[in-house]
Amino acid sequence: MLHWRTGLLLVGLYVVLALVPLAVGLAPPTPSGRAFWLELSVALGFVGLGQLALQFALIARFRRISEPFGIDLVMQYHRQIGILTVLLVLAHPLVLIAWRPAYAAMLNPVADGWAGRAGVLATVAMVGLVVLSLWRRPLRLGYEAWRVSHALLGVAAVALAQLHVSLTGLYVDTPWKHAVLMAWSAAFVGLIVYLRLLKPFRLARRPWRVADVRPDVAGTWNLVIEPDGHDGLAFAPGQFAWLKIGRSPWGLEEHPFSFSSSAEQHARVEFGIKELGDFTADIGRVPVGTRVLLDGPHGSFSCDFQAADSLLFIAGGIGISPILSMLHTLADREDRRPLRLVYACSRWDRTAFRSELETLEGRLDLRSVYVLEEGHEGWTGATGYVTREVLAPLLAEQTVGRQVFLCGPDAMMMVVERILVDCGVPRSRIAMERFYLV
Amino acid sequence: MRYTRIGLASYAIASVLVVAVVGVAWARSRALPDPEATPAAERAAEPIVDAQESGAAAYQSECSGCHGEGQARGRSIPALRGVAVELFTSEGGREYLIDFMLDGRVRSVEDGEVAYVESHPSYGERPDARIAAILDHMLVSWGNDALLPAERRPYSASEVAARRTVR
Repeated sequence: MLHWRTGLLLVGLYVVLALVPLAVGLAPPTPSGRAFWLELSVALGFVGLGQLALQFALIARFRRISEPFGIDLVMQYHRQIGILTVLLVLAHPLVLIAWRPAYAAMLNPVADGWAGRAGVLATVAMVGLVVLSLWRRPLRLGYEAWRVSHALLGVAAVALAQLHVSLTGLYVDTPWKHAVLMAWSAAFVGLIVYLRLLKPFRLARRPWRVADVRPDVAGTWNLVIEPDGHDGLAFAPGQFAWLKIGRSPWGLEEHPFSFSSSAEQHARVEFGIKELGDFTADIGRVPVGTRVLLDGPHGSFSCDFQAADSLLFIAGGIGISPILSMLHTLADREDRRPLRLVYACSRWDRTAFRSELETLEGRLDLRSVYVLEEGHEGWTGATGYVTREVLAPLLAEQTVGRQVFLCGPDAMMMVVERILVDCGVPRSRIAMERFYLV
Repeated sequence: MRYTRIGLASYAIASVLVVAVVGVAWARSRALPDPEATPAAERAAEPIVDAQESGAAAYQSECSGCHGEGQARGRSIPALRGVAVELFTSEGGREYLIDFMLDGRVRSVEDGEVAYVESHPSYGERPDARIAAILDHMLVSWGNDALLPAERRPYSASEVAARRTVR
């Protein structure tokens, strides 16, 4: 459930921080007021800088920031506000040019001074960021290359925007204003230095080793890792971690994976991984003994964070991973609550972790309903997608203190959430986490 | 729906920021002296205690952001060091500089057609005395004074006020 008070506080803090550069610009000594459109343009620029720098705080994986919302929602917000920020930043010169076309001369990077040049370059970097993020797949940009580009363009955009403000200098013409604004921008950019340089160093002191890479059904693997020289990790079932496998701690190749093993076992943790392209295509070839760095646990998608008398799990594809972890954990704890699972997959022979689920049914009050997109001869279960007809009987079975956990592809989660709400399930009782962060 | 809510939240936050921006712009543009409110004659009579000093201060806050210390910046910003005197000393240059500051554009009449050449932001909302002070500051700074004819008469507020009606 959303810890709304903390959430509200964080949102308020966010808005205040976003206005810091504007406040610094307007603090005395201030130049005399000018025409409305000119002042509007300047204010847009300052707010744009504020927003831009704040993005680094959103992605820095601070648990305190992400926990009230869920890290996927923070990422979603980052994506949305990122686009809106670029629009604000684009409005900054466009307002001026629409008001007085002569200002268009400032956009000429060849002719104009460094202040204008820095501003133009910062804008280009920001537009580039948005284009590469929105159309990463059509542009055939790999996840890794995208991450590198995103970090570099982001840092470049803040640095250039700050340079633009410093060189233009109209509103920051005193040393203390220069100092405050530069420190402010540097602090946020510093967060990415922390995330990419300092944190890996800390993680490298608690390394893990690959103990096993076990194939499940076609295209799905179980990656098993064990702590190397420490006592492992406490996590909540359903959470996830960022894994860096076999590279230098400072490499950028890093992937979020959900724990699939029991949270009661700290010293041997497993991740269900599906081959989706990129790095995951080679997961089966990772040799035993490879060093792994684990940044986690993250996420608030867990039965440990929700009080409930009965639990309904709905998984699509590899979205089963976090749910499997919850089921294993509940089994280890000898939990007696009624559990129901709806598991949607493309085909029976692609339905991962079936045998594990069978074993779990013996240890828990668990009943599973499989929904296959493509049935096969002799298949008597449901085919197609997860529909109201599939869910209604299960919802009728569990009426008291029911909590729903939903994890799957975006489209499926949207449809299923709608069905659940239509069936009268309160939104506060539906926990969701998307697994494609980008 | 969960993502819809986050979408709404980001629009809400962006709206708060835009409202703040518009509010700031409105407040700051309101702080301008309203040229209509004070009759031109009265404005011309505003005493200038130290034209040189107030010109320097006004230049710092209004002009130096783009023009720096009179140096050129690329092709779009010519060097006030030199160019200003060149314009001032050419025929009609004295008035041209006032018009340029007031309008940010210069009227040219060709074959009876009136055309405007847009080239500079307008400072027409500023008090006459401030414009006069800025022009004088520009003409005596960065070595410009050495190029000026010795008999040069400083700009006056009433001179600027007069150009407002002539143009």
